[in-house]
Formats: sequence, C-alpha cells, structure tokens
Amino acid sequence: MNCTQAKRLIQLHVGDDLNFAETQLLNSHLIQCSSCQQQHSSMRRSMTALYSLRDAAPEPAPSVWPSISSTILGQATRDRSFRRFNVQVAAVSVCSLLLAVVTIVQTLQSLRPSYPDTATLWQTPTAGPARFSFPPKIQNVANAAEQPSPGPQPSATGNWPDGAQDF
Amino acid sequence: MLLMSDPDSLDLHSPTQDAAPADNPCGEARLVHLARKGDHDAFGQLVVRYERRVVKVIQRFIVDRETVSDLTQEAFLRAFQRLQQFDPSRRFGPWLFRLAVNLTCDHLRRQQRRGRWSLFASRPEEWLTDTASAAANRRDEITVQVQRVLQELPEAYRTVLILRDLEGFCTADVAAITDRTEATIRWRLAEARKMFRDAWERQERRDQYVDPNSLSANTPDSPPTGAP
Repeated sequence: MNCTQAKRLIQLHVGDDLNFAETQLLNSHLIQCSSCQQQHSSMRRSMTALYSLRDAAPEPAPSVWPSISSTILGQATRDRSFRRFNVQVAAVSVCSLLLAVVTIVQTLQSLRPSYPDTATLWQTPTAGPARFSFPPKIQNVANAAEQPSPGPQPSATGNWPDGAQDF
Repeated sequence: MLLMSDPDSLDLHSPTQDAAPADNPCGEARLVHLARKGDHDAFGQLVVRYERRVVKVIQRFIVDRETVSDLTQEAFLRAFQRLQQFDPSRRFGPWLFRLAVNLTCDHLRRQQRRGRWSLFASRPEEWLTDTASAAANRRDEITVQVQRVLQELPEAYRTVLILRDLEGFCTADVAAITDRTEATIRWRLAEARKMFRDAWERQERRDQYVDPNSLSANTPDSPPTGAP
C-alpha cells in the first residue's frame, strides 16, 4: 500500500468506515510511515472538533403534529368541497351550454327569410313539365340578349362605318 | 415475517440519537400501510416517531428555528401527499429523510439565489446566543467555528458529512437518502472529511494569526489590560 491509498483509508478510518481487512492493511502501513501517522492524527483532531457539534444542537421545538394534523384535515375538507363544487359546476355548465345552443338555433331559424320553395317559384303555371327559367329581371336581360342584332347600319349620310362595307 | 426477523432492516439509529424509529419496524410497516390507505392517525404515529429526528437533521443545515419548524412540517405534509408514490417494499425512514433533506437543500439554494444569504440567513453566532449556556466558553466557540467551517463546504459534501458524522446514519442509509450508490458515498465521505480537515486547519491558523492573545486577554484568570 502506498501513501496515497493510505490517506484515502485514513479519511474513512477516522469515521469507522473501514472493514476489518482494510483496517489491518492501514495499521500495517501506519506503523512504518510517519507521514501517514501525522495525517492520521491531524484527521482525528479535525474529526474531534466536528463531533463536538453532535451534542450542541438546540433543544427541539414542540411537536409539529398538531399543526400538520390540522393542515391535513383542512386540505381534506377543501378537497371534498372542491369535488362537490366541481360536480355542480360541471352540471350547470352543461345545462347552460345546451340552453345556449338551443337558443342560438331557434334565433337563427326565426331570422331566416320565408322564401317559397325554389322549385315551385320558377315553375311555369301552364301545363307541361317544369322548366327552368330566369327570374323576371334576368329574363328581360336574357330576352334582350336573344334578339338578333340589327348589325351595322349606315349613318344618316349613307356612309357605312369603317370596315363595314366589306359585308 | 421478513421485517420481524431482520432487526437491521430499519437501521436508522444514531449513536447520539433516540432510536425510536427503529423500535418496531413491523409496526412501522403496518402504519405506513394504513397511512397509505388514508388513516390519519396512523400517519400521526409516524410523524411522532420521526419528527425529532427530522428536526435534528434540518437543524444541522439551518439554524433559524422557525424555518426549521416550517421545513419539518412541509416535509411531513409532502410525505403524506406522496404516500401513494412510496414503494412499500422499501424503508420509510430514508424516503422521509430524503424528502426533508431535499426540501432543506432547495431552501438553501433559493436563499443563495436571492442573494440574501448574508442578510437574512441565520448564522452560527445566532445559534450560540440561542443556547441556554451561551456564555463564551471554549466549547461553544469551537461549536461556532465548526459550524462556520461546515458552511464553507460544498453542499453535496456537507450533506454527506452531516448525515454520516453528525447524525450517525450508516453509509447505506446516506446512500438511500441522497439517492447515490454506497461507493459514491464512501468516496464523497472521504473527500468531505479531507475538505473539512483542511478548512478546519485554515480556520485555526487564521485565528492564531489574527489575534493570538485575544482569548487569554478575555479570560477571568488573566490580568486586565493595562494592569500593573
């Protein structure tokens, strides 16, 4: 065992953290190494100082259980009331949502214009199969479009417009 | 039953500490079982078993009594809230102490982050004035100095040193509390003791260098300054 290994064992030995074999090994090294002996004694001194803190802790405070108990019981009560509250809120929310949906649907239906059915609106009253036709205003435009164009006309002077003479 | 035949299964006793938690491991397993089912009184018995020890451990890190009390309560409340996450095949003690130590370390880190460590944190001097025998005897001075040196150590090493050397937890328990392997704990323990030794010797040298005669000048045996 060299001194580096021995120093590590010394650090554990001062707190009784070595097993029997390790302790034997360390002791055999300490017998023949004065440097490690010094290390061992200085380590023991510092540990003695550290151990002085063991009994120096102030007296513990009174039991914390009463306050912990009241906190736990208070939390349990809050949890229970929170669960009840949750159920109520959920039920009320669902009902409100359904009511709102029904109201919106009814309002939309009342706002909708009451047009007659398109199939009957444009159906010709005369006998025969239903025929699609344009609404009256569009019908006029359509009729105007169907009339043949008079074509280019000679002006009052008898001249044709440019390019119309070829026809 | 395994727990009854294995007296070391709850080896949380300390040479300096009441060994109440390890008294009846079988009863403790039953209490934990009942507490997990919501038995308020069973958890109360667990609290009564462990509270003194938890307070002592937290006091090693934090001196302010109110903070210690708050952290103790918080540790037990957190334990109660997380009982369903507790693995019943493991031991309750290390799990509880892990909660307490983690809470304490979180508290210390928050304090350091806020930069108010030097303003509001309790100091070893306060502890000294708190004790009944607050007279400036040599032992109290050593206690304050040791506390001061401990504060200089990094948190991971200080935790191991406190749990093993001050609170007397065995290495396996320290490993369970800090959630590390036993090999890591042994290595950290050796390093922590070396760090403490170095810091302690520095402190001693500093005291000797700054005022070598201050202690002897203030002792009743020594003549007052300026006396013939």
